[in-house]
Amino acid sequence: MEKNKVTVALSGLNNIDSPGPGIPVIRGLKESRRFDVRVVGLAYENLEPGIYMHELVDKTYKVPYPSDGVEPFLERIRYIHEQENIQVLVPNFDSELFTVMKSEKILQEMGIRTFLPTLQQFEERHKSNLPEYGKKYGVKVPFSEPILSFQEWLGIEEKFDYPVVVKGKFYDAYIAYDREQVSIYFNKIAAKWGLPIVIQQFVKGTEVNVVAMGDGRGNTVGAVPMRKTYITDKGKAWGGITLQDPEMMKLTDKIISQTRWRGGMELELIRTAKEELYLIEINPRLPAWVYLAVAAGQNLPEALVSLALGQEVKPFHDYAVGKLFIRYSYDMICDLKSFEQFSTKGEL
Amino acid sequence: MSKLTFERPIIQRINAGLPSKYGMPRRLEPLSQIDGVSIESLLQEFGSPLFILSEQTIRKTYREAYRAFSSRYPKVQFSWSYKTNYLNAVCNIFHQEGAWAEVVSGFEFQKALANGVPGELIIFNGPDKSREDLKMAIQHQSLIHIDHFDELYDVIHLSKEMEERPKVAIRVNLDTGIYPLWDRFGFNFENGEAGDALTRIMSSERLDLVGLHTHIGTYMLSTDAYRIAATKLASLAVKLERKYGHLIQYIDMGGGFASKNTLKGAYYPGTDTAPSFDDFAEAITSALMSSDIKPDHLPMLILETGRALIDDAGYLAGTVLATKRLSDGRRATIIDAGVNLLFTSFWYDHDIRPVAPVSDQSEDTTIFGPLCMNIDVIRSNMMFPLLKKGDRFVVRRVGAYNMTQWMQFITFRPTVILLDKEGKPHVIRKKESLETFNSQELTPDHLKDFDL
Amino acid sequence: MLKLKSNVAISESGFVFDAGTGDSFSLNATGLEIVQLIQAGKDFPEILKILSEKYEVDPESFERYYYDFVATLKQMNLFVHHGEE
Repeated sequence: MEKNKVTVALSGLNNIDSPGPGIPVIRGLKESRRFDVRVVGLAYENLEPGIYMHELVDKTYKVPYPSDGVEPFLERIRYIHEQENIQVLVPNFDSELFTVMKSEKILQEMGIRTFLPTLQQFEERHKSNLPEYGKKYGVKVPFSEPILSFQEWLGIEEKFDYPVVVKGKFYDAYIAYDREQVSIYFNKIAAKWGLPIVIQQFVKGTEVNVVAMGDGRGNTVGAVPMRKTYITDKGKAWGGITLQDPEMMKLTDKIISQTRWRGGMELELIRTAKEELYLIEINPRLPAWVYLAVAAGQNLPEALVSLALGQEVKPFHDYAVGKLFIRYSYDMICDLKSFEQFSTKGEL
Repeated sequence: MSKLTFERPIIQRINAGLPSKYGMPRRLEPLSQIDGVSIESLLQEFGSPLFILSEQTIRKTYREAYRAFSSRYPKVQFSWSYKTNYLNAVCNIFHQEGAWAEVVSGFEFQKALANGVPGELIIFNGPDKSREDLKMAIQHQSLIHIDHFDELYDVIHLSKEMEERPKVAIRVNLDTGIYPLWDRFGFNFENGEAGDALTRIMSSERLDLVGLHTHIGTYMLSTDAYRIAATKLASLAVKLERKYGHLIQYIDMGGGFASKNTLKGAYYPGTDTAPSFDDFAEAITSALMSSDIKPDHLPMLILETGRALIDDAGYLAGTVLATKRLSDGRRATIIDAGVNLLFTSFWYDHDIRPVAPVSDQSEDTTIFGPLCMNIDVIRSNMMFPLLKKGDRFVVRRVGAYNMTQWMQFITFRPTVILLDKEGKPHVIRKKESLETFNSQELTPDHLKDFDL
Repeated sequence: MLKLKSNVAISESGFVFDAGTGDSFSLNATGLEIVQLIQAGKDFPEILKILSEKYEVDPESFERYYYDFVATLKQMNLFVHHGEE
């Protein structure tokens, strides 16, 4: 079968100790049997490893942060589009999604396709809305409350038992065992990701995750459940293994069909000793461990690009159970010239 | 041979470690004109600093808001929130556009009357209405929005004393799922207090219950909260009709719509996150239309939004006093407008621009006001080009609250001008002078003289 | 007299690499020109003369910019301290 040439721009090239999903997504795309992909990287920082991984990323451009607003983002994308003729844009950071969704129409007019959740899907699954989400869709969620100041915590503290999980709007979660730790984590996360901060009741159990994709009409395009076999001190997966778990699959199908989820997602779940599944978080994009799904037989990044291009995708039903991933780090040797070029010209 | 344009020499550390807040350096576009009028020439003519309001923007914003609501609902009335900006010229633009007056004090009430607003088109809100204020409102047949039971009993008492039939509404506070709950104003919906107040009014038979009012918060980014609030008020209206056969004339949804300013602590800029008038209108009107109120009994919908109508139309222009370097190497720029004039800088990351193009280079800068106080910080850190003494700056979106909450401190409050539709400047408030203050002061005889 | 540290390398693109500390910096075009003139041993009056012939800039503003720029370079530790080297 002849492969179709397609240019995909994507972010999340920070393949560091707590990696972004960019490189794993690219690996999936490079293994595609449908597409011959030219990869255009979008990077925020000069040291994102993906910038220098030329065998995976054809060219990288520096882009402004989403917090600068839609206009500067679009201005930069317009420039990159002129050079590269981007066909599909895959934002891999939670913090980018709002900005890209807001720009979806304009991007489409420019000829750039995306496949993202709708603004409503995106908003209602926010951590601060999780209790309501659980009620609406009949999913067990831990008790949680958003707070705007540490003072507020003192007012609601008695509704919780320690330990609690202190969570940022987009990223970061810390387990706090007392009031002082809540205060420390509150300030730490608020400085980086703004408000609100969500305090969630800590649920004891095993963390299990699902990577999945919805077609926007209520169908599950693919889903692979996984348990982290070992977790780094930053709470990220060090290794993980695919599971055979009908309960997790049922829950995933239920969430996707009820919300008509569109695009990639990661469900973070806790399975308690009583075999109950609690939904901790819905990440509205493919996770950094998505390559495990590719290796297990579901090339979800390829499916994402196909859906963005408006092509039919046959849902995946099978995957290899017991596939294992082990994350490793690797010291790449780079030329200072490359660093100089990217840091001064913003392109490499 | 003509010489090349000079750009200030600059060196920047390349960030190779933790992600910085700024990502790609971005050029801050200067803003040199408002409605085609040069800011520099206005500063030269009227002095620095200077508040500038655009009549064109006020009218455009008002019409946009009115269209959003009136295209979705049969009877819509705006009421200008005086506390947001009660310069008479500003109020009168809104009155010319058709807005009534919404006031929260005797002072504002008198201001509205003096502007020529008919008493029956003044909505009197707030927890602070003295007996004299209430008398004045009753005499003028104004719409009294009752805040608490003490006030309700005052009004009933006055109705007997004055032999008048006051027109009243109650302010209702309700849970819309947002935080904080503004339960300090009005009667609570969920615990039945609002119902009790309505029962009391109906059974007194001395008051004319004309409306229901709520105001759920300020700087609201969620339109859903308005949908919930409108649904709950509509349910009260339905109860009134079922229980007493009484039809109210209006539902007043208050204000609180967010403007495009960016709140401190927000990750995205306000220009991306603020809902449009259409979004707010859709949430409110769809809730009213789908309520159990009979279609031919739909009450008038009153909106009291202030901030979203005026913020964009206001600018504060001024002059750089000095630049310096802080101990950690960061830049500091000191400008001639402080937090006393720009109260909103306590909660907004204001959009500040140079007036003239200076440099493509910007640096992490703290912008300080001129007050001799440590709290006088207009922006604690922003990427800003290095201006020099005498360069001009302009702060955007300052039309709401700054010209009412400003403080006189160590110097005079500046001139406020309005650019009319043709761009012609009009002084609408004069810069204060020593006389402004001395005329208010009295010095006892024994303190009039001294020898030094 | 200002002297750049010998292990500071400056490329034509304005990229500055301090091999002693591993820090890197970037200069804009004017910054690069001034640094190159300092490297060539020129002092302030000479640099002022050269640049004001080429650019539209008055001596007073240039002096302010120049000394501010040099102070920044000092803060970034790119000059030789007195008595070293």
